[in-house]
Amino acid sequence: MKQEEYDIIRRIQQGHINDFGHLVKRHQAAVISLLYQMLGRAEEAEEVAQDVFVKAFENIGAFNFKSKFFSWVYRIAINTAISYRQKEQRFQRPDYMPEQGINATENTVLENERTRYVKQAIDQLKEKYRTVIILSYFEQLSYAEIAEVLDITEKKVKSRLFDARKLLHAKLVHSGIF
Amino acid sequence: MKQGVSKELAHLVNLKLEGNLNATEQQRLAYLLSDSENARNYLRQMEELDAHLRSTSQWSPQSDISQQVIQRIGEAQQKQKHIRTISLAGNFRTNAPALLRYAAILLIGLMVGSALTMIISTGRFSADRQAVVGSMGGRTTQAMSFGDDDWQLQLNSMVVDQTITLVITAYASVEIQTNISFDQGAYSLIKAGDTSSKPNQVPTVSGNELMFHIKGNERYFMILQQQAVIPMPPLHLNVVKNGSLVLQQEINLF
Repeated sequence: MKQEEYDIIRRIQQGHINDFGHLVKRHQAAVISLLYQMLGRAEEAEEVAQDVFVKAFENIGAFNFKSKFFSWVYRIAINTAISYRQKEQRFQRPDYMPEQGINATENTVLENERTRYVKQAIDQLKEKYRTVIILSYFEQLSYAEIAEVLDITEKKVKSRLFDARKLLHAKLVHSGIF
Repeated sequence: MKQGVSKELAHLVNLKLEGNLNATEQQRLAYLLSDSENARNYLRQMEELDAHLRSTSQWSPQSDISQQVIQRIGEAQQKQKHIRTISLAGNFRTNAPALLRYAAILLIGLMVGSALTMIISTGRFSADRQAVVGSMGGRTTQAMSFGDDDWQLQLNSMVVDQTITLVITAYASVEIQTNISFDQGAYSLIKAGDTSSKPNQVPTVSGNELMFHIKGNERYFMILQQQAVIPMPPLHLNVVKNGSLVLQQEINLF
């Protein structure tokens, strides 16, 4: 698959634009999902995902075949999402919280409330901690994959996750959730 | 839980969450837990947090954005092509054989270079890292200058269709080494040479890199052909003086 993708990238570098559509189709779900977790809104995630792939295309001449295309495009997506968040100064509640229906049981309400606090706490983390939580828990990437995407060592990934969990715990204690 | 936890406990709980506790660590954790309610609370809360995060399902979007992406790329390319090719001097651009075009471009570059040499002979350029960009008749031209007290370097670039001509006019009181490299996937080198009055000053070409040694007044040129119709990646300019890198610059061709 890696070699096949490299062949597609070489064809794109030679000017076969439409081949880029194959790469978009193959990776769009993962990229949109990541952006959704990072930005919190489905519409924005899809819109920013388009920007990510256009950026990837514009820079594909510089793709050096040392990493997977997936890691490379994920890195572009993370950087784009961080810039987008900084630009928009968006820290309001994301819209992916489960809505509470009339028949919601007390447990459901409590669980949803806890989910909301956890998401808020994640949102308040520094980007480097937030990103590693999203990649590990929500996108379910392995340590090795996270290391490749973020261009850091696996040891650093583990250490960031450790710190991120501690910081999250502290925030939740502070909010009275624990 | 209001009270803090020890570093040791936090470390052991983290290992437990990752499933990496060995027998000794397991025993030590069990001891810490048996000794303190605070520690038991911490473990319970961290496990709850971990489970909560794990239960947050991965969202699987169903939408297909590939068509929009390809459309946006196509539009951007059309726009770029329009800027570069739709212009006033249509006859020259569309009818002249490629070689004639290169020669004409080179001639224009040399004229610019000659003018700059005259400037150098009477006084060095005053601009520092300035870029002047212009577009006329389907040609996009750009001038940039760099330097310090010992050297001055001016780059004039011209892009016509997919042909890029670069003229490097330089003055250096101490010898400097200039390297210009380019992405081989995006460009191929058509020609490079020296146009000053020193015929022995030939640039060294190595793969995707051109190296010029400059002492006194020099003028070099290079002609590149863009390989694919994609946004042009930048060239990379490095200047080394007395063994130290004194300039590292991306040259974006418009």
